[in-house]
Amino acid sequence: MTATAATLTDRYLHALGRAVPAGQRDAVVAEVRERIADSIDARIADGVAQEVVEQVVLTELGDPDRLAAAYLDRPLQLIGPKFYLTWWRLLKLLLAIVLPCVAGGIAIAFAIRGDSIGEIIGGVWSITLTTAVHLAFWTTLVFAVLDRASRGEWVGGRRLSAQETAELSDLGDPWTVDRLPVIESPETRLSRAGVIATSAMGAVFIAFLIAQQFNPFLRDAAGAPVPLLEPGLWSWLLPYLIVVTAIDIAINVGVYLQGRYNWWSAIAHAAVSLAFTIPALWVWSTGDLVNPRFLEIFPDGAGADWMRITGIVVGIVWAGVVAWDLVDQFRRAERGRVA
Amino acid sequence: MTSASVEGNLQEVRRGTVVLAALLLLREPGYGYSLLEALGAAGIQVDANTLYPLLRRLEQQGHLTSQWDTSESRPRKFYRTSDAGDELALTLLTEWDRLDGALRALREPT
Repeated sequence: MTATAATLTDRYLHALGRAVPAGQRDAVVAEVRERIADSIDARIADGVAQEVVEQVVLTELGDPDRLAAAYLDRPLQLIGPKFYLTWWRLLKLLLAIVLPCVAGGIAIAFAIRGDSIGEIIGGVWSITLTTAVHLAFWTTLVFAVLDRASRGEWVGGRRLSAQETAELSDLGDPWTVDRLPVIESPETRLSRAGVIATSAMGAVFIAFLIAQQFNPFLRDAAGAPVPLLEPGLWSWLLPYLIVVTAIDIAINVGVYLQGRYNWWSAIAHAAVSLAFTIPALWVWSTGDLVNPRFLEIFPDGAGADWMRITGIVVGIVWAGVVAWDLVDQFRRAERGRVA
Repeated sequence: MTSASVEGNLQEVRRGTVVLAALLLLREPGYGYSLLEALGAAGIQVDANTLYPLLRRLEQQGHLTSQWDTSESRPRKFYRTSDAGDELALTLLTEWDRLDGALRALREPT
């Protein structure tokens, strides 16, 4: 055996030893040393040249870390089949619950603090992202530790193999048919009551826009009506919102007559919804939506302060509701397509 | 059918046979490489990367006993089937015979 070849083997066994716990190191290294020597002899008998034989044998053995894992029956995955499903379900549930709460809470808090729109969006994005990373990391870490701790259990006086451990039941109770999901009755058809309700709400909204201009409940000192909304908006926003609302009613009726949700209705609804929400929310956020004279009615400027906090909460909840409505529309369209 | 899928299915069938053949062969003491060759000569195909860790596992499970032989120029670990290993081999053989009978019955034209 040449000096160079001996060095290769020693280096291989050294690398192998580092991957094996101290308690088993000597035993595993000795076994592999025997295996390498026997393999080299066999390869030389097969006619492999002396200079390369060790390299050939070690290459066949492969990555020492992988070999150690095979000898120790150690997993080469972060989370094995035993815990994978539990991990995945828990992670999805956590993200779905925590992230919207964090995003909404941060948005409201930053807005009340008086941050600009850019600062709020940046803050919500970075904090929500950080939260998601932390949730995923710590959940995965716990399951990875659990996966390793629960392997190699001693059952019936002997250690279970990786495969046997994997075949054990999942965390917690064994699966039963009771866990099968209920098949949601797909609400792919728009009910008549639904159409009437949506249309009525649209009509009430249009009526409100017109009625508030002639506000019968609030009068100024001179006895003239004080509109709730900024009268200057009649030059563009308010007529625009009335038209968009009317289109929304028409689409709803159209979908009802057609019989079911589909991609076109979902896209049309989304377009109308955004066409309504974006300009309205924009004007709402600048504070120009409400008539300043209306706020003057409240004593000591309490109206402005009240409007600010309410405006923030309403604006963010409004955006959330519209976002959910869009998702819901497309989900219904998807189900309507499948049904 | 691709040859890869054939190979995969063949390996599935062979997987359990290596344990049984090793337990039977090691009623006479043997070391890793000698067993690898004996298995090959006996017509049991097994990869060294499968066999060596398998011997270690069977030993930990108590189906094999081992002893380092230092009388030769090179120390070698000799394995031998234990009483528990004999019992396991018998159980596996019984199951193998039962499966063989079952598959023969299935193979017969009805």
